[in-house]
Amino acid sequence: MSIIINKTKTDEKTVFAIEGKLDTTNSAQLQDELIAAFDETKHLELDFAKIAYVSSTGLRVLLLGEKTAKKKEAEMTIINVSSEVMEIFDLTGFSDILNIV
Amino acid sequence: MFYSTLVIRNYKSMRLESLIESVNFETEKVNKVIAEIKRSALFFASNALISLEGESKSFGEKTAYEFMKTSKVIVGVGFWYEPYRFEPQTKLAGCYAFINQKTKEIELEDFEYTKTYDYLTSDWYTQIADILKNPYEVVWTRPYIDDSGTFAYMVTASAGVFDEDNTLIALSTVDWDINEIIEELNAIKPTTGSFVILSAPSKDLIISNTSAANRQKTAISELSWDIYADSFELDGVNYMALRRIMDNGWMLSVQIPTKEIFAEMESQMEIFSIILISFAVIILFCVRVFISILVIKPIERLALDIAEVGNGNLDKQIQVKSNDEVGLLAATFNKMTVNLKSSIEQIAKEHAERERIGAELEIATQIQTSMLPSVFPKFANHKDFDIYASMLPAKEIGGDFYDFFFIDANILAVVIADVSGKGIPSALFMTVAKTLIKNNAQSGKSPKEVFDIVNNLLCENNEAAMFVTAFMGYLDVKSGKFIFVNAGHNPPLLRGKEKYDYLKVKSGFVLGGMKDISYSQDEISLHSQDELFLYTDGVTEAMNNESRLFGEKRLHTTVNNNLNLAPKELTETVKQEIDKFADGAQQADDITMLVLRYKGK
Repeated sequence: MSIIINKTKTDEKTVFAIEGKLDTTNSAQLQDELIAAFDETKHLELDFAKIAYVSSTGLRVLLLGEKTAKKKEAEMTIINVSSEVMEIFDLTGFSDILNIV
Repeated sequence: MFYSTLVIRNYKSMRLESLIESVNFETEKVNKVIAEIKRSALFFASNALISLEGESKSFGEKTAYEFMKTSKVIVGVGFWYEPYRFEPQTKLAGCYAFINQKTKEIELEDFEYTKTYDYLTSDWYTQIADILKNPYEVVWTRPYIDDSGTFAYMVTASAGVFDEDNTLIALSTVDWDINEIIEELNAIKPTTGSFVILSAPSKDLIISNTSAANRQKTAISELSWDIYADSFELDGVNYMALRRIMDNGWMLSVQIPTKEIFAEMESQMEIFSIILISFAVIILFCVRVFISILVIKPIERLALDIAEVGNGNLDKQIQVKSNDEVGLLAATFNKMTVNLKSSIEQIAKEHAERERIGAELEIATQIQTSMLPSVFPKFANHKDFDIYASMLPAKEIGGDFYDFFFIDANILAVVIADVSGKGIPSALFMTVAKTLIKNNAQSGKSPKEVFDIVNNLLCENNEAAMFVTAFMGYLDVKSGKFIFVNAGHNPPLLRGKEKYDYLKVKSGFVLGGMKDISYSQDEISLHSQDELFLYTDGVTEAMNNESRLFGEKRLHTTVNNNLNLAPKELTETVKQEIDKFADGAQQADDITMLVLRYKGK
């Protein structure tokens, strides 16, 4: 089961609306898309409205995304984070590192 | 259909051709006879002259008699003089030899006999004398039945002898029995309704048919149809005519009813069809045999060889070597077999390689597991605490680990951690993290200091952005003081007086994720029989077949339902609950638990 990434691009930012579970089996897909996205945009917004679960592998991808953003002086924000996912972010300290709106 | 039309057309022309051939053949025959009769007529005319000049009666008589011995179609020969021409004193003179049709004997009417036979008034004589005008010319009478001597149905040919004034002196007669020729003509009658006409130069008809009664003497001018037409209608029947004109105006004509040509052709066609069908059957049979030899046999052989290849003999090369499609198939199959063999070898090689990697991974898992303290009870001399831990690796090597060790005589450090991801990278990262944590802790640093340092060390050259969530605590086994630090790890459960509750922990960021993070440590005081239950997300995130998680709530309930179990039994019970929940779903992550029961004070 893979995740679905719906991409919309404006001059201002690129939005990835992601559907599914960010776990070991499909995080690599998002990783490639994330890194590639920063070649074209200064602001990547991840819409987590349809993300139910993030595993440690998913967290690693988000960390990688965040690091890439910093390196390229860009910004990565995450919106519509569910309480379940927020719990994971809080638990792992990711809520301090990631730009959650 | 086209073929059968062609056959019919061919058959029709062939039939006509054969008819024409028979007519031609008969014509030729009749022609020869006519020529012979003509020669004979001239011969006896000359005999008449010789007899006259030589005044020899016996010469003529003898010649005529001898001639008759050898003749077949001629039934009578003779010569006759005009009145007083042979001898001045004799009016009638001549001789005649003939075959008596009743006795089949040759009879001779000599000069003596003819003196009394008034041939001059006979029908044939007047007829001939009337038309005979020139020497060397042969004339013919109308067909008639001779009622005097031969009683045959005949035609008489005649040639004359003339004097200087071109006055007739004598004439010869050669009697041709046309019965025989009529019978022969009957034989060429192609169909039952057809008839053959032989026409004498006098334009009288001798109509040939099966019975002699039908012979007619009719003038052509009296016919109700045009004898010279290629086709005509007679009494409502359509006829087709084949015609030949011979010497001296003789004519042979065959009349065939058009219908009967077709009728016969149809019946012939039936036979022909049967022959054709039989022929087709034979050809089909031959083709079947031919196909069998050329196609089926090689295919059967091919199938046999392929079956052998199918049974695993990839060295088998098919021996069908023809230049057709079967040969091509065999060659292609041989090529496939070779390719298949090399593919199988390649797969076997890759399989062996995978087996090797798999075996190495298994060893790696064993090494990883063996790095964790696994002999229990541990620290048996310490009566102030009990500790038990277990790590159940998932199928794929993971990154969970736990650790516990004494920093000094009274301080016991416990660590539980989970490296992000799976596989060899995680396992390697885990080894590094575990070593760094233990080394730094043993150098007398506080939990916070250890995490601050280890985090920075793990961040170095961490291009893959791997990280580890970790919880570490220092237990003073004498006082029960517990100082702990959390780097993004699941909060432990603490059993106080009555039940377990999640320890209120301020979580810092994961280790290795970001540089220069300042972790904060907390401190609690443990009382006798207080118990800490540490675990990794392999417990709370165990999944069932419906992709539902075991969850913190279910873990909380489980431990609270089993308050009086010893540390080892507690971990086993939790594992049983997880298995019950997973209901056969494969374990996706390492399941690690550590239970620390404080007994001091």
